[in-house]
Amino acid sequence: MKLFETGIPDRGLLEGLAPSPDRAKPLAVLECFEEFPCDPCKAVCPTDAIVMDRITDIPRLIPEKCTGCAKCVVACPGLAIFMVWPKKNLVWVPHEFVPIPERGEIVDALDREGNVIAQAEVKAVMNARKKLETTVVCVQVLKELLMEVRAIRVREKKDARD
Amino acid sequence: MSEKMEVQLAVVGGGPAGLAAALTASRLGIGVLLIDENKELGGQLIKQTHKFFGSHSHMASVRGIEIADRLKKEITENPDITVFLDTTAAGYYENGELLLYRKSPEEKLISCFPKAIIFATGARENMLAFPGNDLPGVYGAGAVQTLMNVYGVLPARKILMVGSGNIGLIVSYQLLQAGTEVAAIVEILPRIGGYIVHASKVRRYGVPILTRHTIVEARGKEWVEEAVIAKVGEDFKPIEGTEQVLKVDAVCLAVGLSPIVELVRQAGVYTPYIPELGGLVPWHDDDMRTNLPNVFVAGDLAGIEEATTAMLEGELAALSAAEYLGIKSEEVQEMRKDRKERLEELRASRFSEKVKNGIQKLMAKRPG
Repeated sequence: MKLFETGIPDRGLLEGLAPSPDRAKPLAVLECFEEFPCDPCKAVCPTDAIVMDRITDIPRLIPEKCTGCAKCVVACPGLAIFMVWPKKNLVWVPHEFVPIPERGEIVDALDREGNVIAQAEVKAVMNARKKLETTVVCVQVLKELLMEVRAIRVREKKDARD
Repeated sequence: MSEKMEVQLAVVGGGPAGLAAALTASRLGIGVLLIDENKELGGQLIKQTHKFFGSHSHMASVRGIEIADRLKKEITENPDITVFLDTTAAGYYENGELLLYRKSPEEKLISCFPKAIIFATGARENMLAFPGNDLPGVYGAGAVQTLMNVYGVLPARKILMVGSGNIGLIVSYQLLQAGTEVAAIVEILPRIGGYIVHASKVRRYGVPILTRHTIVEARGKEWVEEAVIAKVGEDFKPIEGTEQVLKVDAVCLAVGLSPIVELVRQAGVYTPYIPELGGLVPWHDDDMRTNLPNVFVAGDLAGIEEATTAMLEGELAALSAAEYLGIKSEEVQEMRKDRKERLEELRASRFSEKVKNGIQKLMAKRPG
């Protein structure tokens, strides 16, 4: 598997993770493909939508139970959980960089390899002011990019160092 | 002249293992002296800005810096724990004397006579041999983290990371967060060493991870100006003609750790060579007892692992020390069982295969 050589998930691994196009709520997308001891996503899920038998299991999502609350997106220490809502063309990504973008701002949208694949408008920002919590940024992108955009970068305004 | 001092339990090292050991021992009513050579408690935890993995019920999803703050607060508020910061444990002698060199608030030597002692001295970073490795700008990952996360100093504009274990991956991510460009992460093995989620995290900000690659040379006049990397063959030797020159002003080495065993060796603890655990390691059983009845070990010193297991080992060492000091209760037995189960759970994935093999080898070397 290329994933273990490059850090980029193989296409096959992503099959079945995307939400159905007419889904009424956002859906968590768990891009966690390796067994190791970690369970915060399961522990914070208020509807038991994330299933793991042992702490080293790969977490599995039951889409019918997921309410799109994004608690797992915030809790995942590996920043490996995202949220997608085809109906509104929205994707939520964890963001641990400064600056934190503002609602309405246009940011670079990056794919899993770090390529800039779109300019996206920020629709919401969660945990912007909680210093130790992971910020989650919601951006709007074209439907075909919902399962591609996995990070954002705030465009440089002016770098004071140069 | 040195001052004399007697304590029930001395804990050498205030990282995750030492902090957990001191807290557990004091809860059992033991008077503890906790010694650390730094000006702040917490060891490597104070540089860990990422959220920890593990079990949600035991501080997973909490950042290392928060864990350090919680433990430090508990220690400082505990009247049964005396903390000596800025203090070097300079020697441990046959008469049971632990010699302490305090640098502040007042410079002095102290002859400490602990009834029991837990060593949690941690590890030091491994170096790599290549031309130019003595140039300013070639750092260990620990130094990079200290500069960035303790002192707020950016170590480089553009850097090459050598090693894709969890430390290499995490420090690369922290460098990105601090505003340094990471030119690449090279890994000599065919597979990324650390957790893949960490790798994917740096990859999605555009950092290439090159397996089967190594650093060949660092070049520069007065400091690092470029790094040469190359592909390696099955023999791990660079393949001629595959060299690439990267314009970087620093190289960060994250190529493993070795336990700091000098003090335990001086104490007379048997230290066999177990490569799976990081090199020379103090012999110990699964209760963190060494071959000396009053000496216990925990954390990276006892075998290179990570902070969560280090804390559990610290607690186990404290329980064994308590037993040695005459505290035998059902509570101690229950805690022991619980901590061992948690350790086993944390070591259940493929990442711990090496450590588990190492522990088996170590057990087989039981002295006497």
